[in-house]
Amino acid sequence: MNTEVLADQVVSDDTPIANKEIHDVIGAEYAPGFVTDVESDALPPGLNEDVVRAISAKKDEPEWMTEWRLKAFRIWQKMESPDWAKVSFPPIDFQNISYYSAPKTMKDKPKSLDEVDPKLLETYKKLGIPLHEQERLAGVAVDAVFDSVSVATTFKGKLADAGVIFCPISEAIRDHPDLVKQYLGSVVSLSDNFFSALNSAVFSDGSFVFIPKGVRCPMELSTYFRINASNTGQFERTLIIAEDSSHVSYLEGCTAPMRDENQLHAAVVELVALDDAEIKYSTVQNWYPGDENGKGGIYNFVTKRGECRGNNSKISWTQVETGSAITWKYPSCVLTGDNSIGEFYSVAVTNNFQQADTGSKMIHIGKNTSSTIISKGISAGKSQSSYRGLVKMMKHAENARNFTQCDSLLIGDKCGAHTFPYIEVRQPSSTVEHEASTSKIGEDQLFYLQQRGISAEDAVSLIVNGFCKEVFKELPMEFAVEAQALLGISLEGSVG
Amino acid sequence: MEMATQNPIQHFSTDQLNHLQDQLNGMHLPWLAERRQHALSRFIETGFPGRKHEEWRYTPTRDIEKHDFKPVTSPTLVDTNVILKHQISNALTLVFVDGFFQPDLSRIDTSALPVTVTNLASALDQFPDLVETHLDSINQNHHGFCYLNSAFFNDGLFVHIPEFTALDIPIHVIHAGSTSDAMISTRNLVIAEQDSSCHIIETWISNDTPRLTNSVTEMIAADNARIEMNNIQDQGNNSYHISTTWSQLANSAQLTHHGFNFGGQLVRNDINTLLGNNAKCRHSGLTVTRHNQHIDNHLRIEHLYPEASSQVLYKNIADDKSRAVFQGCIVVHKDAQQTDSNMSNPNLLLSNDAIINTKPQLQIDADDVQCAHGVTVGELEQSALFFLRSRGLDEHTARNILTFAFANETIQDITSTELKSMVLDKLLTHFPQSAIRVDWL
Amino acid sequence: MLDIQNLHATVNDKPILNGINLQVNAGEVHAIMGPNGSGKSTTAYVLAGRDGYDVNQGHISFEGKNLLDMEPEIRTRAGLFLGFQYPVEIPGVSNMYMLKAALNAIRMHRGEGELDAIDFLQLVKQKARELNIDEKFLYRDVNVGFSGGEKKRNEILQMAMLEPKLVVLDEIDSGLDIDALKVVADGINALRSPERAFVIVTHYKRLLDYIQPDFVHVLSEGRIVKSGNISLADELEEQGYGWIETAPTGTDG
Repeated sequence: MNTEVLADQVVSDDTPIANKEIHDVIGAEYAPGFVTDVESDALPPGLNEDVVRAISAKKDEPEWMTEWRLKAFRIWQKMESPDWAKVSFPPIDFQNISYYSAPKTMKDKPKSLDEVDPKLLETYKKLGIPLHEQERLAGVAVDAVFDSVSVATTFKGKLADAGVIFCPISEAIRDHPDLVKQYLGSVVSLSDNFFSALNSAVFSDGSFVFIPKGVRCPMELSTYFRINASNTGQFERTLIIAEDSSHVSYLEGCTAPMRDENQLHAAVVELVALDDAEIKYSTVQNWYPGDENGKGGIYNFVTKRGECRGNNSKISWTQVETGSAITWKYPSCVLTGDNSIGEFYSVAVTNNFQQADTGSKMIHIGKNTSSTIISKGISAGKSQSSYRGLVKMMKHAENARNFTQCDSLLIGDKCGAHTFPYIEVRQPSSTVEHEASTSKIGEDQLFYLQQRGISAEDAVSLIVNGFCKEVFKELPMEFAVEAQALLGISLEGSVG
Repeated sequence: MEMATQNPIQHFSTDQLNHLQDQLNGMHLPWLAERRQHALSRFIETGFPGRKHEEWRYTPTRDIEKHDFKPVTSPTLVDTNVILKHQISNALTLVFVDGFFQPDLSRIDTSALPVTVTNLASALDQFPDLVETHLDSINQNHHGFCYLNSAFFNDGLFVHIPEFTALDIPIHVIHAGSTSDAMISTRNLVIAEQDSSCHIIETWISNDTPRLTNSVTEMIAADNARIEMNNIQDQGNNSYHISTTWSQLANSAQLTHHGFNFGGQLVRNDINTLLGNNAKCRHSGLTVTRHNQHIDNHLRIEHLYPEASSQVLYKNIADDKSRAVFQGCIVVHKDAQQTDSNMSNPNLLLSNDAIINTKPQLQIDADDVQCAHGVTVGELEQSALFFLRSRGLDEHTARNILTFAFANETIQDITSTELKSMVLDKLLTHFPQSAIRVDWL
Repeated sequence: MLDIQNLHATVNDKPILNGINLQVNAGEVHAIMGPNGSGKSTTAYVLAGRDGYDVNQGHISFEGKNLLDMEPEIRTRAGLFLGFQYPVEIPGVSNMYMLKAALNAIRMHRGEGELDAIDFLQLVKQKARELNIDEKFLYRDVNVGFSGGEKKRNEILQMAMLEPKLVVLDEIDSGLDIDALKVVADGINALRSPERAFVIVTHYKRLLDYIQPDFVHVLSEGRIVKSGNISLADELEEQGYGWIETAPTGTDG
């Protein structure tokens, strides 16, 4: 079957979709929706300076880090929740959230996997992320974050041999304070936005990656985030530094149990690429999206930004977003170094009552910088999906180039797909090309595939996969397979 | 919306404002007096859109607030030759100077025609009910300038084309002015009944005195009606021009709208089009900014019912230290299935100090649609420049030819040959010392 | 007329031409042949003065003047015409307009005064007829929507209109079927005269069969490695370029 041709033909025709068969596939379950029964050591709900100090104390943080958090908290208190995104939700009661929760068994800081609570290991195994190195794919190192703490980080030894630091950020604050001081907050400042300021005050854990000069990281690095406790927010912080001529590919995955209340996830990710360095950051986001009536689900308010600080550096974001009740994220590249490259490849799928407002910002500062944005939005059910992006050519960005393509695919007549690109150009020798299109899956395409013996849901899946092909090819191989499967599950029951 | 700290009428007391309103046309009509009162109080509340207003993020109104623009009570006469030069033969012509209708300079004898083409003030006297029904029927007063206009408009164009009537000759409105620091509020109302058609040209000219022109136009096209509107804005380099156009197209109605912007210090055109079942609109525009001009074209096209189509082609050329802004939003409502929409916004950036801001948007709540937009920003093609130079043309001429070619596509859209050559002339004045020769074209 | 001495040129800092020597006299037709990447098109672009083709050594004199000092349009007005391998499409500019602007710029340069609209129209129509070019092409935008053959014929029409002294044709024969090739060759032959010289860059011999050049040069790795008459083209046709590439370089033609 030639999916490429089909993808190109995804345009509307005159007949409205009325495929009952596809509608019948309803009932897809959110497989990662189970709860792990562990006793938690949690802070009571509420947020004030004492809570910020308590989090810092639980992490045994040095004084400078506590002060940094308090400074962020004071800035956050003066800020207002942003209202410009095309998403709607009742005001969040920040005093009704617990800002720290960790399994009690993690309190003694297990020294090896053998000391880790078997219930936790079982949780990750059930999610398809076995933490025992012998069971893992040899090429991927994992940092597993459970609520507010890192449970285990695999292959640390092998990575250390190559000079790569891959550890929970709480550990990096203790063991590599100079690196953390130099780079933390250098891409996303404390006052950048409401949710990043909140994260800076209360972040609990996350991953720290440092690739020294000239090193090509010998394996894929990944972090798996799991929200388990109820009423808890997750505020992870990731910092990746790639020194001159280094290379790293990093992947994150996320899931949460099915709960009726909404849970807040406000992460900050900072990437720094120095001269000739390359960072590839891939996300498969499958937070609990809420049920088919829009009840529950994660509010995913994330700030991700990379700076190509060095000449000839490259930062590439790839994301497959299928989960969360609300997604608010704009992985961005600040192209400071001459000849640097920024890329953003995104598939965002919304179904039922999900809302996604996502896109990218490409800020061209250096000469000969180039950026590519490929965004594929798929809306089904009663969901709303928006692409929001900014391409900015600063005054000295001579010969800078951007190409943006954002395509939306609509499945059903009760969803919405929106496009809000901002283009600001101050340099005549730069070139910006922006294209957007919106279309639906054609009845004729479905019929054609069904006539060839393909089931309706497989036909939808084929067409959607064809539509997203340009993005999937950017994912590391095994995750591309996972992403495609996830896409199929997210869209089940969507056509009707 | 921010509160206004200053506004053009800050220097007037409430009594003075009421007195100013009392002198306006149509104040004998209670409904109009009441609407003006309401609009004035709303304007005092809202002021001008501030920088935090998303739809005005690229166009600050601070400069307007700094000026001391005042409503004027009588026009300063202008050189009639300038007006005559802009006339189009065989057109019904209405001339306004500083917003005041000039019967002596106008030609609107429609006695042999089954249509009404007159100034709004006369229409308020002759057909108050018709005006009351349609005035503000689609204008949504969506920002302070609209309230300001509703409070102080004095006159403008009134057109009524009865059903099954085609007006073959164009209606040409010339707005001229020269009063320094004047605030001119004009209001146009165009009603095209079922299966009727008309063609309107609006030309804005002025000298170099500072002035604010604030215009609101409503065009209502009933089933199957066709309206063509050409707007040529070429005011002096101290003019502030705010224009808002609301068009409503009923079933199978059609609108062709061309906007050409060459003049003005700060110009903002809001063009809002509401599409009925199977309605069609085509919007094309050309904006050329030089020196420190700032011109913002802001389109919003709403597909409210099925099977309508919208086509947008807006081109910008920014030179020197100028800024050209384009914001185009296509909204497809829930029931507007089989919508077909295409928006294109090519931009040419000719100088290191010029700025292009563009924001094409799609908001789609129906699934069976074909919507696309495309934007490009860049300088002239280097390969085309070299090719022309290798044919013996100097670089300056080659650049002008390519810039002209870029612009020409939108001009070729104009149906009236006389208007086309007038717009071409205006474009060519923007290429001084150019070897482009109009007699070759 | 044209004297190229020890020409070295780079593109993106990569050396492409490594010491070309070539003398072309009025009335002569020179063919430059060579494998892909040997520097044929670079030679043509350097002669016409394209940006990004940097001469770092050597001289080119054209009718006794330093060609390298001249802007591209001045070279054209002085009588040099480049026929492009890939003629550029220029939307919004009609062929007729471009031709008129170009011809008048050149005539003014020669001190001949502009042609009026009627004389111009007559001239362009006559040339189009001679070259078997449909009149309607004159009114279309420059090369927009033209087939490969139409674009090349359009180049020949421009050459005929501008009456250059030195014609440089860069693979004017690529992508042409036999009929179009004949039209192009006829156009070139019609312009041959004792006052005019041609440098024809080509990969294949078939165009040369129609044109019968006076000299054939073989370019390899940025140098002319062999020069001769039309029989050299025959040799290349039979044996390919392989023997040239392995031959020792440095022997100037």
